[in-house]
Amino acid sequence: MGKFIRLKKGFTINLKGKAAPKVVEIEQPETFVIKPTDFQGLYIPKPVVNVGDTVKAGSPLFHDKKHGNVIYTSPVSGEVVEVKRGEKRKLLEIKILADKKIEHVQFKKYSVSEIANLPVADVKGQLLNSGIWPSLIQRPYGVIADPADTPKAIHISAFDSHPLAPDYNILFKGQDQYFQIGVDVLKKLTSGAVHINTHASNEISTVFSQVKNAEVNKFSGQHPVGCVGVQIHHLDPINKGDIVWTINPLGVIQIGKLFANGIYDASRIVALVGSEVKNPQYYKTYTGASVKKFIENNLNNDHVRVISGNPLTGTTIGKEGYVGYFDHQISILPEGDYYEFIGWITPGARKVSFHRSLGLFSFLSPNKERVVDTNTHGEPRAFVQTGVFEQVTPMDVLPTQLIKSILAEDIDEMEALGIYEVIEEDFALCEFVDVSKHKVQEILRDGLELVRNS
Amino acid sequence: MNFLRNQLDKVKHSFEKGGKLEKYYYAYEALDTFLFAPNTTNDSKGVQIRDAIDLKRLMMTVIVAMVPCLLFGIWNVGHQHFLAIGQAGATLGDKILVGAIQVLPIVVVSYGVGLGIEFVFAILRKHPVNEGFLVTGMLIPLVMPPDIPLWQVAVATAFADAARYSIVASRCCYGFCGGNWKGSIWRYRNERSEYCTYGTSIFIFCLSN
Repeated sequence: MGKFIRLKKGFTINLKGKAAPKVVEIEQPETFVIKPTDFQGLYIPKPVVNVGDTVKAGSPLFHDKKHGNVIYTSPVSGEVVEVKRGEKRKLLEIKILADKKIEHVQFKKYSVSEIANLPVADVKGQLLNSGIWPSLIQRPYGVIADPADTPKAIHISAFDSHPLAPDYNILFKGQDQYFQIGVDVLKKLTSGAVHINTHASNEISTVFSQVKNAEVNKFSGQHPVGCVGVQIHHLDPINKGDIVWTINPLGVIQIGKLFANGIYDASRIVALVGSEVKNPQYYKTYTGASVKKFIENNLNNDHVRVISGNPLTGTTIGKEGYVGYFDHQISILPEGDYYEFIGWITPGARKVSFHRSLGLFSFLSPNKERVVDTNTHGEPRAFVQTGVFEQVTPMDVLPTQLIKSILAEDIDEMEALGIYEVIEEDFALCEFVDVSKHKVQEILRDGLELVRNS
Repeated sequence: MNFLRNQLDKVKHSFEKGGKLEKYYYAYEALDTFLFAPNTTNDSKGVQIRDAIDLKRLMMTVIVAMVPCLLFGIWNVGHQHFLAIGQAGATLGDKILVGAIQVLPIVVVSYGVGLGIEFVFAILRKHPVNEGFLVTGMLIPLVMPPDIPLWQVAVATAFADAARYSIVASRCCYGFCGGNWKGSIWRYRNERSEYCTYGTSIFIFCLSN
């Protein structure tokens, strides 16, 4: 029987431009890209393809120099047209010109009863070779899971509470069978339970509610209730030495299709959202798609920021960019590079603020959808205000002290303050509400790398 | 607004690196950010949107919270003055006028000296002018006795402000005098020939340490 957990702290940002509940299929983008920079914990990516090579969906593109058994594969079939490198020959992306009809590498198929008797080594081997293994993220540190580990649990968040996040009921509709097979496979990898954490008030899709062999828990509250780190903290906190794996429902479905049909199916539904989009809706496409075709003739104005992911944890990719491996949405926001006359005191109900400060009245209408641009609204300063990070972090960690201990590079203090339990997305809201405009997520990642490599 | 913006943009190049007035850049920047909220946007990684609050607005909220206290203090100084001289029938306007004449110079001196030191240190140390003094500049007059000589307000503010940058200065002063403070800086004789201290002076001394 799953748990029901009600969270009091947090702040849900309501932005204009949520996706309409319809899935549209348009002409597919010509190029797709896999970016090694999307994967945290990737030591040095070594490409195994050259420009001009032909690949199929599921063919290896690169692997990690340190963990050679984790293979990163192509989402589509076609020809490799670019292997882009940056400074010091750092591998930035591998671009593939896709075929009209996708061909797949054939992996071994299993029936449901065969999966139940499959040895763990075979399961891991299939996942590693297919390119689905990078979907498994380990806590602590938020890096790609190590195949040598056995986690104490696997957690799946069945909803997303980030601003403008897509509705998982639409993203994964009709995939019940594959989700169940995926959960059965994941159960073999852990010594504990597979947890599926759903939202208490929304209508839960049968994909998640009817699943067997897993614990279904319910959560209610404001963002970041949808963040899997917060859910793990309240169900079964991570102590020093514990390892927990997390995976997105899409990853689970891909595992199900891999074992049932023997193919790596990188197809996904992506939501195009934001106040600057004329028709925000869902599109059928594949992992690593170019955003050009989706935003063509679909923008209200040209001076916009195109973000792969949500506005709190996403990355700016530009109008010619590509959707990240882990992202289910493309957010388009207006750029905020304008001067505002005495903007630091002018009152306004249109500006979004968590604080009830002089002139900011957005707290009076919290459910109203607002347009927010990318202006920093101030300059970086030293820490001045205390207690505000704690109001938006529904976890038993002290975020301000943790960030300060990372800046001081005090590893013992970081461990005592709970650095093992958090990754960037758990602290994204702290970065949003910060008066002193710190780069909290960047500081946290530095701290995590410091502890991981110590 | 456009006129102001254009004027600021015109002179900006002489304050930037390689310009004639390069060392006064942060003074220019303080004026620029006072008149216009900056046009900087968030980085490509991390949050892409931020809360509309910033440190200036936060400090203004604190100042606005202290304004009723200041207004009451101004009225009270006038009220006590007229009580002391035995004139019970003074009007509200009279009381406020007397209070204002006594208190507002302290506010002006506190902000003036404090902001002057902030600008000097910002130029010397090459960092932005911090908004912290907006609140301290209001707090200092609120804790001072109303009849304090203005030069003492100036010295106390200078120590409280400069001590943030130079702990050595305040330590030196303590060292030189050996902790034994004498003379009319720290105490005075009132009409009944009793020794009274300026409690605020002690407070500022403690603050600066």
